[in-house]
Amino acid sequence: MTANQYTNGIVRKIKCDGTKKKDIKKQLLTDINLRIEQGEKLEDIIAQMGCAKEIAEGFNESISPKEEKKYVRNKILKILLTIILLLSFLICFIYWLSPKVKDLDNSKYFNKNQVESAMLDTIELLDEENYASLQGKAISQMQSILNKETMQDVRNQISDNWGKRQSFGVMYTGELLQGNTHYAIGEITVIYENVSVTYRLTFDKNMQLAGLFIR
Amino acid sequence: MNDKYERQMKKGVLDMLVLKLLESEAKYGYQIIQEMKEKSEEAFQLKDGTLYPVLYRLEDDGLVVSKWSEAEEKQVPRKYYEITDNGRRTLEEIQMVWKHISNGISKIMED
Repeated sequence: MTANQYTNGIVRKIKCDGTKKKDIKKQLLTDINLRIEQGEKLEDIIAQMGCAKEIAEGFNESISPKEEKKYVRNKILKILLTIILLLSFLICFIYWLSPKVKDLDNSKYFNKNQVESAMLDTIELLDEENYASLQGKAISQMQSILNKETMQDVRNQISDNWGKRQSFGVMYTGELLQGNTHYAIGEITVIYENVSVTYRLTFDKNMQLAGLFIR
Repeated sequence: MNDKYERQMKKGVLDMLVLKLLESEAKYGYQIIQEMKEKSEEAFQLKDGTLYPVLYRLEDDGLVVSKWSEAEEKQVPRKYYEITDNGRRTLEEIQMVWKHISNGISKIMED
């Protein structure tokens, strides 16, 4: 154990403010150094001075009720401040993680016409069951689900027979920011002979299909 | 000798002894510990954990003031304690009380 560790152990247990703790530590270290200069060994000095807890108790006994009250109040304040800081950090982190959508017209990363055109292309390829082309336009994680079997399952959950596509509804687009990643997101309702289906499509910055939601 | 009684008796006179040692000149903590040990012929072997709380209390009560010395050459800065006028008056009062008590104790114990 070093002199510094020993004195730190003492002042940590003393119920007073930081300034006084620093002063006490400085005094104790001065005494220890004086004794070392006079030829005493650190282990002997520590043994003579006593255990950190006992020394701290000696100081605590001499602390006035007013000072102790102030110490307790400051400690509670410190704990509260730490909790508030942690909560603020957590809220900021959750906000940073949560998706935020803004208008595509103001986007630095995406062109609205390009996004709308990519949405229509994707829907047409899905209707044509041209999964090879779709896979070429999708991110790697999406490629594994863009196949006839999986997509047929998805379609069947809505209806066994959609019928032919009749018309496209109004298209809604936006820029989605999640963490540090920017996506273009668009939603459109498509009318088929037997059902009306809403597609929500997501594209990354390279206009690769990054998300597909059908209902 | 029973440690408990020795501690209690010493504790009661510590403020007076510290003030007395500071009466002649300002001293730093370790110096007080050493002088107390020498002058009392080792009857009072104070630990830092006993002396410093006393010094802080005396300072809070305005009986002593403290000041860190400047670092000079190889000498590390030291915190010197100096008795105040209030401290000198209090010391005189405590000494009178001490004489009164010790006379009383002597009379009882001599019987």
